[in-house]
Amino acid sequence: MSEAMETAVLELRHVGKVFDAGKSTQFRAVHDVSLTVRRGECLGIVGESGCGKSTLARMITRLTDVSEGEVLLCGRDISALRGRALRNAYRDVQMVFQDPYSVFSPRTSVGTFLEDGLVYHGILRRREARQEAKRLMELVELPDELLDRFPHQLSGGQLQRVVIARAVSTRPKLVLLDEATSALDVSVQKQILKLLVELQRLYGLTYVLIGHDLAVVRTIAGRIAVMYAGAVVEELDAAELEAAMHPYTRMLLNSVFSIHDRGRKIIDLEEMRVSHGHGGAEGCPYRERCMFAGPVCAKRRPPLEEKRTGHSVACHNIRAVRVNEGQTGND
Amino acid sequence: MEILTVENYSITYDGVKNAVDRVSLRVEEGEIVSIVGESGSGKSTLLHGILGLLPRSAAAKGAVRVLGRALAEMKPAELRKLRGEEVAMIFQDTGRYMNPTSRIGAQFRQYLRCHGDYSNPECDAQALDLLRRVHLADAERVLRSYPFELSGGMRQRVGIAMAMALKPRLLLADEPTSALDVTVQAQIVRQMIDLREKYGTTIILVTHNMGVAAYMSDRVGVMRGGALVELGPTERVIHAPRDEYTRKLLGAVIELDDEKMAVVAV
Ligand SMILES: Nc1ncnc2c1ncn2[C@@H]1O[C@H](COP(=O)(O)OP(=O)(O)O)[C@@H](O)[C@H]1O
Ligand SMILES: Nc1ncnc2c1ncn2[C@@H]1O[C@H](COP(=O)(O)OP(=O)(O)O)[C@@H](O)[C@H]1O
Ligand SMILES: [Mg+2]
Ligand SMILES: [Mg+2]
Repeated sequence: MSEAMETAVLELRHVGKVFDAGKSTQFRAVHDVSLTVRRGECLGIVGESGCGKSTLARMITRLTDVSEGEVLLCGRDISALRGRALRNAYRDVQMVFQDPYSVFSPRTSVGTFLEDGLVYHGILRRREARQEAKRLMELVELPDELLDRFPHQLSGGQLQRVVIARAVSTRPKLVLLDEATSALDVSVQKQILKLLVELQRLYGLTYVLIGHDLAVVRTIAGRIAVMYAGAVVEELDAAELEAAMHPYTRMLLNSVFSIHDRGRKIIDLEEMRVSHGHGGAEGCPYRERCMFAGPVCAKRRPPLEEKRTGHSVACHNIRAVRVNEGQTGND
Repeated sequence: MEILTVENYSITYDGVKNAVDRVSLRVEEGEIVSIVGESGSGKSTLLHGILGLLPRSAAAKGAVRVLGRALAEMKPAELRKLRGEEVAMIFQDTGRYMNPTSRIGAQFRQYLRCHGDYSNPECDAQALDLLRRVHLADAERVLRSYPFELSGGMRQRVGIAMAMALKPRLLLADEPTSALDVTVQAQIVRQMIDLREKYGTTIILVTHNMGVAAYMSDRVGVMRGGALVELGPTERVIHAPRDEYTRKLLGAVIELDDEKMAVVAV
């Protein structure tokens, strides 16, 4: 059982983020998140826009400060690092964003972009970096003529490959992918996902894959955490997704259209209630949209509890959810 | 009745290659037709052409007839009237097409009065109902707001509700849900289907979501490089695509029950 003993690549302990929202009011964008990612794993994080996925990722990469809790990278708390120590930590955690054009300066060639990553992190000297850049291009299946091109001369899919090449070039301990394929055409998206899987296999990379598309996240994630209003409401194996228990996860599942769905899927308007916000500090954040909400849901925030091995849910009313699923045969 | 006819229709920008290339399409009243294709394939250009909304740099050839009338022969004022009364459109960023100086409530009244002599309170009640149906919280506040006071996602839902208020005979929707969350997307899909059921609205939907296209449409068309490379009944296109490119596109769709792409930890 050495696997269980091995230190996790990433461990979040009660991580929270508080933004100042005008005079003396504060907004908690991330609430008490605890997650563990082991080496070689891919954790998927899904949830609707504004639920705090990017803020969480930006705390892990220290692009924004960690307001509460601890972020442990290979056992070391990086949440309060500064200066050189922080710079070294950056090398170990790489991030890929939705829009590859946004990470490029328009006047930097592809080759320079790749070399800079290696030189900046002190991995290679400029001379050697050129050679490595060629190898990286090969790795992400791009012709090395593109090394002399500029970002606007590449398609979004090609550019995202370059960004991924740079992200893996420093042999990071962790790669965070924040909606990395969301802006791409479907065929390109699938190729990029395949590339990510291949790189993971080659280097034993560890991923956190953030996305709003449950189907996409599921194809490469081993575990999935579902976020709602800043909190993780459910965490389970990707293979167990159909057995999800939280009403919000159930609704997400129900909202995915398959090309084989024609006329079969029922979109239940009653089930999809209007949201009136985050539901206040107390109680369940989901209660105002939840068809199962009862009095207790307004009083106490449900803790994230393990209901089965490896399957945690934050809901007071799981039994009601199950009964309902049974009645409508909605599975 | 044929509600839209597009014949051998081509559009160029600045005289360079066809953004839309000899497209022909006939749509019957009450039909839902989806157009799918990758970015740059000409979907938006085609819809803008049908609505007479092309920029000056664009030149169109071929014929478009909307509700039996030839687009080329319509005066700008007639076109505006058509767009305001019988043909509605929803874009990916519908907010951009809203009147920036008029409150949402006032814009609703204008639309609703195309169909009846409603009082202000009657209009507001209908507007509130429509806004709630697209899952906008705090609908009263939305009615009092100017477009710029709302987030992009909110404006999009308002735009969809406004299009519904028109009870249009023809609805052209260009990626209406691409920027919205999946749960809201499911809502909007349901609303569009209801619109057809209740008012017999004909819908042309441009989307890159094959699942949505398959779910709600009677026919699916596939565009590539400006051309409509395939068009047929949904079942047929999804299960027995004739065009090589359609097959490729379908093959790239990621489904919830897909096999996991194998990942073996080292
Ligand atoms: N710099 C900031 N200042 C204030 N609020 C912010 C800031 N960044 C994000 N937020 C808010 O935090 C919430 C979570 O945002 P984000 O993490 O971007 O969500 P997601 O990536 O899941 O869409 C949102 O309500 C957003 O408006
Ligand atoms: N205003 C414009 N001026 C010049 N070219 C344009 C303009 N709008 C679109 N195009 C070009 O026309 C082609 C079709 O674009 P578009 O209709 O937007 O495709 P889609 O909606 O399928 O993504 C693309 O090659 C695009 O670059
Ligand atoms: Mg985000
Ligand atoms: Mg378009």
